[in-house]
Amino acid sequence: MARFLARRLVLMLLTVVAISVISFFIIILPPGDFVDRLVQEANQYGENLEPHEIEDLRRNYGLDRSAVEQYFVWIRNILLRGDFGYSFGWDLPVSELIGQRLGLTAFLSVVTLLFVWIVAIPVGIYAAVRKYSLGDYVFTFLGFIGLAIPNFLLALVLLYISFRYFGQSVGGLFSPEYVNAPWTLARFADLLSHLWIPVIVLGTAGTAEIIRKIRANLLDELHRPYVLTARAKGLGETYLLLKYPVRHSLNPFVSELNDLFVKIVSGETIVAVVLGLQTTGPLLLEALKEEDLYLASTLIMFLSFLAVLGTLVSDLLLMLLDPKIRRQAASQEMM
Amino acid sequence: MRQTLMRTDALLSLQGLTVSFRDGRRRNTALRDVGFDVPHAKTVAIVGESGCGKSLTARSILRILDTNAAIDSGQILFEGVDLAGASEKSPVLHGIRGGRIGLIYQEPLTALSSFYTVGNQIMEAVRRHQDVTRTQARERALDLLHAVGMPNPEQRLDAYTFELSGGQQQRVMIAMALGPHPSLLIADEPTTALDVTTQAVILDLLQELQQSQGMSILFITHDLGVVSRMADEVVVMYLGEVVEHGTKAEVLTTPSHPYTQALLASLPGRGQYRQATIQGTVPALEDRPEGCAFAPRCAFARPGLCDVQRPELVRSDGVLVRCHAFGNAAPMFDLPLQSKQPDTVKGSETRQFGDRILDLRCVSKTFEKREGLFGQRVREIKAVQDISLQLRQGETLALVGESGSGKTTLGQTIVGLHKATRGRVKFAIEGRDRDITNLSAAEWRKVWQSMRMVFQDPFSSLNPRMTAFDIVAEPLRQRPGAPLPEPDLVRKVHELFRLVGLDPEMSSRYPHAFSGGQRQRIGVARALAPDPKVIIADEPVSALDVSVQAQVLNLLRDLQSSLGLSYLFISHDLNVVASLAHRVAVMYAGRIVELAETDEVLDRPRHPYSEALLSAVLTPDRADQDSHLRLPGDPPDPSSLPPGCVFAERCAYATNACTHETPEMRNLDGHWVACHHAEALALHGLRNENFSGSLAPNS
Amino acid sequence: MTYVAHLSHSQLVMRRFLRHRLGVFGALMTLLIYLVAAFVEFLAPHAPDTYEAKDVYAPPQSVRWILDRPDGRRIQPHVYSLRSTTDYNTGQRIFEEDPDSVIELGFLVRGDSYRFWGLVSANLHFIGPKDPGERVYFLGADRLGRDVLSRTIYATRVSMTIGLVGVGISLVLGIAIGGVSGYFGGIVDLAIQRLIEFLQSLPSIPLWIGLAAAIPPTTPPIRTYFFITAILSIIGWTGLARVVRGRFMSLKDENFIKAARLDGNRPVRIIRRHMVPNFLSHIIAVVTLAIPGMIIAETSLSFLGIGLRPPVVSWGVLLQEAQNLRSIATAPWLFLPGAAVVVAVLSLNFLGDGLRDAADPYAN
Repeated sequence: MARFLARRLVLMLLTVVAISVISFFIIILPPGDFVDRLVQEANQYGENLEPHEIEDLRRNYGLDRSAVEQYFVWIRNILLRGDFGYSFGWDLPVSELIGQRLGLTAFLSVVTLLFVWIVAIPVGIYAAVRKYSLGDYVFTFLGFIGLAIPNFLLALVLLYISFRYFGQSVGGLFSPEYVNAPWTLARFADLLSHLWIPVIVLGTAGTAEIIRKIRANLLDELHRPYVLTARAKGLGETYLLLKYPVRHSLNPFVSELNDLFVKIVSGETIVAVVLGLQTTGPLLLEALKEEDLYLASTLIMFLSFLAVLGTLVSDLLLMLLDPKIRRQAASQEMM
Repeated sequence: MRQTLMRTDALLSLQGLTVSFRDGRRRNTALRDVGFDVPHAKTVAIVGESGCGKSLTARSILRILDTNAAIDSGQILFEGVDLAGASEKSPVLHGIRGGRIGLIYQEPLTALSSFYTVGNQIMEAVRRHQDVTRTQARERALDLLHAVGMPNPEQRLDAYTFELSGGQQQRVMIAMALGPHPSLLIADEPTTALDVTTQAVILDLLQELQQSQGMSILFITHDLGVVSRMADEVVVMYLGEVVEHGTKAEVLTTPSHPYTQALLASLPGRGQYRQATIQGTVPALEDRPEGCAFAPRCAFARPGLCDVQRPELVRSDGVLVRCHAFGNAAPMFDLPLQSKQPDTVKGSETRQFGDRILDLRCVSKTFEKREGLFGQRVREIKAVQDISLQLRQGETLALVGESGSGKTTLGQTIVGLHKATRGRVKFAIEGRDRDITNLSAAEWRKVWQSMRMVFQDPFSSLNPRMTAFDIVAEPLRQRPGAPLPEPDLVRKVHELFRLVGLDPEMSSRYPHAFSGGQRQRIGVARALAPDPKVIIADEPVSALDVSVQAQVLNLLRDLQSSLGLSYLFISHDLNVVASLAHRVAVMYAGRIVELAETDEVLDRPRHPYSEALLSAVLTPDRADQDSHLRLPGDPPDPSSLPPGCVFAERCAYATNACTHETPEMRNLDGHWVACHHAEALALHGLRNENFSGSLAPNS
Repeated sequence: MTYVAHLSHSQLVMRRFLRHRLGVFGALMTLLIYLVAAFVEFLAPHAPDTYEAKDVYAPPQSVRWILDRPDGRRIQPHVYSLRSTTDYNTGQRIFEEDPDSVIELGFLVRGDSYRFWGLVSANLHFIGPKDPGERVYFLGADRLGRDVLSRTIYATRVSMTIGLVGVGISLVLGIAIGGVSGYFGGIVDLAIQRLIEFLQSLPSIPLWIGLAAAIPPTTPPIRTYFFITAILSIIGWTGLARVVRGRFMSLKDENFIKAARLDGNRPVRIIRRHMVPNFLSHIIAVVTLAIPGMIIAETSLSFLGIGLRPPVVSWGVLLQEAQNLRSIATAPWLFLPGAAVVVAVLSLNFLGDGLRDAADPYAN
């Protein structure tokens, strides 16, 4: 088991290295950099910068070195000093900027994931067991709609409805008085009271998808011979349903868990922009538009890392759930 | 008017049971007026081809039908309760289900859950019906595993199904069914998915348990040999109806109903005879004939009677028969009904074979399986090892062995679907012996015109997107050299259709429109298209019902005598092999352990494995088995074969030498055998009497 | 049975599909939407970029059929023209319909001129005011006084084709890479599988945003369009490659493929004649189900302002208009492009579902 975990961790480490490369080069390789933006802005205000001034700026920001060199400097600072670089746009160290926002993104993503489970699993089971019932049709219909509405559009519609009919703006994760307040129980309660709209917006598509998948998986499982065996043993219908086919149908679902989590983390970026959440989304968008190299790279890296962490968790969960994988992990130990 | 065998002590009594399936707006009757009794402590076997309602009867008794099936009428009386009339939620029904009636069926791997330990699933059955603590239930589960002969039961209790062999899984199923001490065990094809040697062990076990526990068994099977081994009484079903019901001796020795007679006659026999067949196949439920269900396929059917009026179940000499020939209309028939004797295939008895056409020398095939995240670990699976054999023109050589013995791999290696790891294959083509081990793709394509293959599963071996015509024409169109002009092609394909007994009119249809037997005929026609010399047939009849199997075997025999074909016939079924093959090679764990004339191997085996295999063969007239020849354990894992003789660890005659030295293949008067003790052993075959030898089984 | 016997596999698939009512509905809707995309210039009452300052945020006008005129009543579709006043307390403009000022509508009328598919000059419109100088807003106007309906119709072409082109590129990549993976197997396969797993474990939207943000704002629209499809395909191919590889692998072991080899078929012909027809219907279903994802992705990127940019009209670009709460509170009809997205995605999902179920006509 320990060896299985160790292998997973080594694999994850490799993935993180690959992620850091992609995150960095995706920003730095396309033409144009932060200094170009500055020059452009200056031009708009009618100021013209001298070539040597521009060069000085580049040197200041460390943008005069080659991309590969810049990457290794960045990585060295991260490894040695936990320094993720400096945000050009904000004039602040990246780590100061992202700390809390990253935490909120992670929190929101995990809460959304839990929300999806809590809603989708029972509904999926119900829809499969009562196939072609009124409830099944209703959920199927809602599921289709949920899949078809882009996240940001759903966010907009909810904003509109709450504004139009409740006369209030529901954006953000905190009430104004708590935005910059230190963490207290009251602030946390405030966060929870604001959380439901982003969670619904982020979770709807995933919920719809998971309901459909669980329904389809379970329908496949309901007619398997082992269900007949359980029935022939004289077990009660609800009990045997939960113990056998439901359990079997959860397996492919768990292996798709990380897909779902990746999608949630990914979708959070847009939803946060629309709903004005104090998470990584708006910061990332801004950083990308301004070619704020280290801030954008660090954000993309951490978001990807979050997703990879989700993969690890779902792998472990699968191992706990599936005796076949558990035994394999145990036998690798012995070899 | 209802009739059953008279009795007062029936444990289970079915009366007029009628079950139908809903198909859109229609209802198709699947069981029609089914009635029979199961007496205390006896075994009643239900026998019939697939689609005859055997399993449906079992499910109806337990009331575990699919949602689209419903009991329309009839009674199922069990220990004084009418199960057919019980409400779905009735606690009495749930108590009987699993508590008083246990069920085991085919494919134990899928019938058990892979998510819970074996112990969990057995204990659950016990605790559902008996008021015991967890500890008591665990002890009971352990006792049960002991009782069903599970090796290392303490460990197995915490094992998962995928860690057990097929035989062990079926033992778990049996233990689970027996847990709450049922008075009736329904066994639905419990050994069909198992190898014969495992089947023999499981059947022994069931019989033992029945005697020790005094249970009744309702045994459902398509295999008449198994019926003969297990049953006290036999119920023959056809298209959801009981057509004959009597004691085992009455039904199997002097069958009355034409269907029973034809079923028995179509079993493969010994020697090169055409077998009797039943024309056509079992019709679909929606095409149920008017009158007698069997009339369209019956050789004795009287037009105007059998195809109009449904016969009643009548008593005739103690047997119940649903046939007009035994009822009031009997005078219209010449009794007793006498089947036509099948004719001998001409020329086959003379056994004149031509030159050697295929010659294998020390052929081995090892698969490499990559494991680990980046495929860094390589595991070698020795599927086939050191195979040497020859095939002569006009000859049928059978490769016999249980699943995993490497026979399919060997067949596919010979035709070049796999590349041999070691050894040589020579093939007499265009008048000379050619080494075909290392050929280019183009050369292989030339060879494939003369060496063809027929596959096992007639459903997966035909491309569903092509018409039967195109499937048969494909090898002609892809032939190296000038293409055949279209009119010649059409003529040739139609000729092939007629040759395999299909109407060329049907050639524009797609595979889904053909029955299993017809599909296999298409497969044979495709193999014959380029006028081959050798056909490698991989279990060509094992997916087919007995009556259809006989049709295809006859076809293969006829083609051999008219075209002079050579067959390498791969099969696990010794009855089929006995009826078709001239010589037999027995395979075990990737090696040939014995190779000789068919009668030699069957009657005077010289390898202990062959003996065990033969002792497990069941036919209606050979139901007594020597139970001391049962094989313990399972075949070795091909990725870690033991040193010495691969069979040694299961062999009753093994000595120290066997576990150290690999036995060479030796020629004993034309009888090849790979066993250190071949000369010294006196082994039992199908027909021979025991002759004295020096070594006795030491178990 | 006898009737089914002569049907080919594709006919069976078709039969099964036709029985899938939602699938058929999806197919008809999809066809309709692509027809709209093909004839946007003709179907839109106005050109997408013409505007009228006095009609800023004009509400939808309702169509009336019976025209009362001094010379009698007749059936004549028309709308009342809009009169606006400004509420000086709130600063909001209030529109009122003026029953005295009638704009008569007609079919096949002359209006804004356009170049059909950029080739043929014309000014014929399916529906519109009879007087080319008048304007009509069936579904309201935006903040510049442009017709929302016309703009949404025009956007159909860009949004619906970007999904198609994106999936096309993904499919080519997916088939090539998935095919290589399935055909060669071994180390190549393992490497490709690991790469796909890696790419799929990355959150796509931040990556897309990162790549899209790198497109300079000065890039010509056509090139932006292709950059965006390419960006969407960078992740999109992985799913298709997996499906192709999976099908390839499972078919390779089918007995009828072995039989085809023994029949003397060369590898290319085995793939073309024996394998492709057998997974084509599955691939079509998967591709159909991949298009909605592309459409949503494009819409999202454009909405954030880093995908397609004006003057290109796509549903995402149009939805930028709805970005702030004030404008949608004033003009909820700005959601129309959003409704178009939902309808298009729903239709494609229905169609894909039907195709997937029909792809295996022998299953139950």
